[in-house]
Amino acid sequence: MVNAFESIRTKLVKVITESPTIKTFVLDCGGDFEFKTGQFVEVGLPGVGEGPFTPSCSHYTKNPIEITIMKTGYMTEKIHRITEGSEVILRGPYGNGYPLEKFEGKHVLIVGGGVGLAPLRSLFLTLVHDIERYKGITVCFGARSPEDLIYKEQLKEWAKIRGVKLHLSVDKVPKGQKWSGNVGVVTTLLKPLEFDVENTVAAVCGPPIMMKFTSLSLLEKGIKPSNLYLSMESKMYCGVGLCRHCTIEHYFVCKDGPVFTYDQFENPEAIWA
Amino acid sequence: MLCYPEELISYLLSTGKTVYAPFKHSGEYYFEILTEDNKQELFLGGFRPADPIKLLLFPARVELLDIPKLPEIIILGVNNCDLQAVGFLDKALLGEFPDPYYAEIRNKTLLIGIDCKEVKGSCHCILQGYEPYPESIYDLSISEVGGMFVLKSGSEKGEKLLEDFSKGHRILEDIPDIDRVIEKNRELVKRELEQLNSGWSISSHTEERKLEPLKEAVDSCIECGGCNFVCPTCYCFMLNDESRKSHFSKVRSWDACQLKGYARVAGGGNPRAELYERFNHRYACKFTYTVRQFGISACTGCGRCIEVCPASIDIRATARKLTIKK
Ligand SMILES: Cc1cc2nc3c(=O)[nH]c(=O)nc-3n(C[C@H](O)[C@H](O)[C@H](O)COP(=O)(O)OP(=O)(O)OC[C@H]3O[C@@H](n4cnc5c(N)ncnc54)[C@H](O)[C@@H]3O)c2cc1C
Ligand code: SF4
Ligand code: SF4
Ligand code: SF4
Ligand code: FES
Repeated sequence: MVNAFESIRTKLVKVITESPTIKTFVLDCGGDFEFKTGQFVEVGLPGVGEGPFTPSCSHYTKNPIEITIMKTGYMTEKIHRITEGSEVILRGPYGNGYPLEKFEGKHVLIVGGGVGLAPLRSLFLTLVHDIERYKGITVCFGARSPEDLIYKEQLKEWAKIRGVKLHLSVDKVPKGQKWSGNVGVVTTLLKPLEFDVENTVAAVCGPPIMMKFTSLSLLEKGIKPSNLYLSMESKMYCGVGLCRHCTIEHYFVCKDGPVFTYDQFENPEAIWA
Repeated sequence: MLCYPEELISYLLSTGKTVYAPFKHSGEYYFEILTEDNKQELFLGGFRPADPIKLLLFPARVELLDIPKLPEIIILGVNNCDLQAVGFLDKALLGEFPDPYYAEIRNKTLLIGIDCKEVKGSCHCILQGYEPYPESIYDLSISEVGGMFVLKSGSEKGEKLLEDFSKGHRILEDIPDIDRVIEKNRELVKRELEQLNSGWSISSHTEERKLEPLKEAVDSCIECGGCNFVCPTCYCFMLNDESRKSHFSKVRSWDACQLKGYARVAGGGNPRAELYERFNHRYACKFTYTVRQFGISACTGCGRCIEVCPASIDIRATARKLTIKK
């Protein structure tokens, strides 16, 4: 019997500081680590604890893999303090991931906020690998302030890729920070966008409140609920459908998700914390 | 197959396995280890023990990385509400990724079910669509008739035990009409249960119930989590890493969805921050979600949550208040 709680040991080879609260950890898994974009892994420090995180690299990148982590509490704070060479434990991958076959031939709209950019960067890089399969990719990313926007240097490169449109926004620009782009919550980027709603799929990830308003605004624009993909966050322990903590309605977020379409929920208004 | 109770009990003791059986203390039953010394005091066929059977199969706190080799156990005298709870736990915990500790214990457990000859005021297995006698999940079942045990096997394990037992013991072939006698005894208990529960409506354990979330229903709940802990089917757990010197372990321990921190995510967000949301969730979990997930409801009608609740909240009343008639 496979013990789903057994972890593999990986080595931290590089830490990239993305923002004051977010770092990307590059992990050497010792061999190929197969996962599907949108799936998550349980990342932890031996004896400290673990938590669910989505690899932020393309799923064609099998080793080393990258995981972007925001400092929000006990365990993530400890992770933020480790240095190159440290041991990080990993189990998974778990969950369903994005159904890329359903994206084929469609325009893909990617909307993210905060650390929600992590799974979406993985999705973007995976899509770009076979960009000719899609009609085009539009990316709308938001952050609280210019300083909080992650993957800044890479975003500049993304904008140059043919078939890709990139829109960025920050909620506000504090004194001393520079920003020449849009100011306002991420939904303000969506308003002026025009797209063929029949042939567009949208992938959304971010804080609950952002997911809620983004969803409502996309539905208002005519995107079909079955084409609106949400990466849900919920409290997780086991990651494999045993502990029940992650349930939303009758779904296990860890097993039936974390990627859901809006129409899967009976009462979508109630799913955001 | 008919046998003498003392002979079966002596035989079980002679197997060298740990045998748990119900004993009565101040009006309640408790599973305790059966020995040569206490076997005179055991009582079979009473209503379900105060503690849920999960206490034996799904201990409150265990380490998950190095599962010790556990001893084989026999649990003698399990009421149907607890047998069905084990059936439910099997569905929940032995899926694609089995809980390794539960799998180890479960493999090494032999369940001997028994017809209830007593019922408690809170018993309502029939309201959940279950009978007060072993229906399934048991390895062996016992019906008491005229001071004798009528034995029936329900699995290969049970068959094997009967075979071994029948080798050195007095076994009587079934007497004609014995099934009718058993049936009659069972009907009496059922009638008592029906009378006891006549104020509530009958359902089935495979029927998904639509529930109307209520705010008022929870006024008196004090959020102690007792109803979760005492329930034989509630299995939600936490998983924590602990380290001692160079050794680290993953520890699985019970959790309770009535408690505020249960669903809280990082940053303090909580999808069920209000008590009434958690309260409604518990019922939705029992009567709707688990039916969708595993095909059966997570209430077997044992009534323990009714008795443990300091606020006297009765699941039968709440379920009725919440149920939307379809
Ligand atoms: C599928 C999925 C993918 C994710 N991907 C990413 C990602 O790529 N990057 C990223 O940064 N984040 C991601 N997250 C979020 C991330 O898992 C959490 O931010 C992280 O686990 C928080 O860990 P922590 O120990 O630092 O937080 P803490 O706030 O210390 O809490 C640890 C856990 O315990 C709970 N908790 C906190 N205090 C209490 C208390 N007093 N009582 C009871 N419980 C408490 C929290 O809700 C949390 O679940 C993802 C989440 C999910 C579900
Ligand atoms: S709830 Fe039913 S099966 Fe359980 S002890 Fe009571 S009568 Fe027996
Ligand atoms: S919900 Fe109550 S009555 Fe139903 S199985 Fe659990 S403890 Fe027993
Ligand atoms: S036992 Fe009663 S008071 Fe305690 S949490 Fe359950 S319903 Fe609330
Ligand atoms: S995280 Fe345990 S059931 Fe989903």
